[in-house]
Amino acid sequence: MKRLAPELDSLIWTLVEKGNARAIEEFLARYPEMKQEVARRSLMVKGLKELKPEAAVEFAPPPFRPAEHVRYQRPTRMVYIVAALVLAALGVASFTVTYIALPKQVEAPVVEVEVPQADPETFAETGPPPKAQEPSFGELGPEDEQPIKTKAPTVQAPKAIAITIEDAPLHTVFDLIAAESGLQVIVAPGTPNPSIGVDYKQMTPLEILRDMGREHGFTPMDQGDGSIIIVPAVENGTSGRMRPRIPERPSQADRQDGRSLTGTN
Amino acid sequence: MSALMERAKQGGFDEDSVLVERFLSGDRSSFEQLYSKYYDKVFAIARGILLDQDEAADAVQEVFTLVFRHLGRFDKRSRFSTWLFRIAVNRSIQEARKNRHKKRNVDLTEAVGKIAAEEPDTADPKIQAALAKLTPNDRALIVLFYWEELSLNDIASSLNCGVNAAKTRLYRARERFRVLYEGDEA
Repeated sequence: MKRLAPELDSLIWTLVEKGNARAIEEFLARYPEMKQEVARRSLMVKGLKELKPEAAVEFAPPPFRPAEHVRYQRPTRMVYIVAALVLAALGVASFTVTYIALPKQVEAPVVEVEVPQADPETFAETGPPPKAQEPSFGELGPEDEQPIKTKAPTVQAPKAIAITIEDAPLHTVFDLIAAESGLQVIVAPGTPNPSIGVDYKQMTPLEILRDMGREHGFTPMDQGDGSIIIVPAVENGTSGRMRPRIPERPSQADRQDGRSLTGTN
Repeated sequence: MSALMERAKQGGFDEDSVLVERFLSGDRSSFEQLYSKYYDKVFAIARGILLDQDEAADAVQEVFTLVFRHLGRFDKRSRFSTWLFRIAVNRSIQEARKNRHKKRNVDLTEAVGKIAAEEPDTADPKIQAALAKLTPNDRALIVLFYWEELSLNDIASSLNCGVNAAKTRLYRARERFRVLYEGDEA
């Protein structure tokens, strides 16, 4: 069947539903080809309206008795909508809780390391400049969200210390120097540990250790971060052969110079 | 009593509102009046959707039971009749869906024959057959529009949707009915 234009289709429905004979006649006079369509629809609408049950009108309705089993049922669509809303709310709540509870991913902090210019003399004396220590991010918490700009700790000029020991193992002397200066002295494996005697006044720890190293065959390496590593080697490349030394009292001249090492010179 | 009704009509209130108010105040006889007034309309709606006389009679009792229990929830924003028809349509559609599972294996021609036997001789069997093939929702629209002759506004209120949605749904239901009707005719 050829599909009618929507306006014409709607007009025909209105005409047959209203049932105005004069309006239908006028319409058919204008659109005579629609006569069959109008007749068919009129018959259909008439049949539909006649199907309305009239029997109940003729008799009195039965007395009303509230049914016990009747329960209000929500329309199915409403149930689906409510279920969908509940699921959506659960999803949003779950996402929010997870978002809040999980720690944020911490961006790797930018580390700016100030590398001092290599001084040929210092380099020759102390070796290559110390490497910057790898930053540890294990302890960063959620509050550390901002990229951390850190600078290598500025090494303050070590203060001069005085140390006088008559007879003690070398490693104990290292510990005492560390305790006195506040530096960390790390002794590499293989470093000998003879008993020695020292007497230094107004000298920096590194100067003391260098002087001791020349005497006892080890090299102190300043790491620049407050720690000194003691390696069992001397600057000429040979491992120090340690000889236990009997501590001697420094001479008066040495004491005035501020440096003295037992058993040297 | 009749003076109250007259005054209500003159004041622009409908009689149903007065009956509802009186029922909510404790006058059970007011509900009997509402029941008598709307029994036929509710029965027609249920009959048109369920296509079965007995099921329709049961559905009417259930609809009025719901109204009896929940009349306090009627918010008076719409007319009582609209609220009642909405309950009738929803309940009938629910019953029709429930019964559809029971009747799935029943032959359609047998069902149509049963409907035809219940109807007066003037009823067109082709109309009945086409109506029986429609979904309960489509039948509800057809019934409200052609049997109860409700306006699109009232149909929209009864179906709890907008006027435009009601218009579109009615148009589609009518088209589906026409296709079924003319298909049978051919």
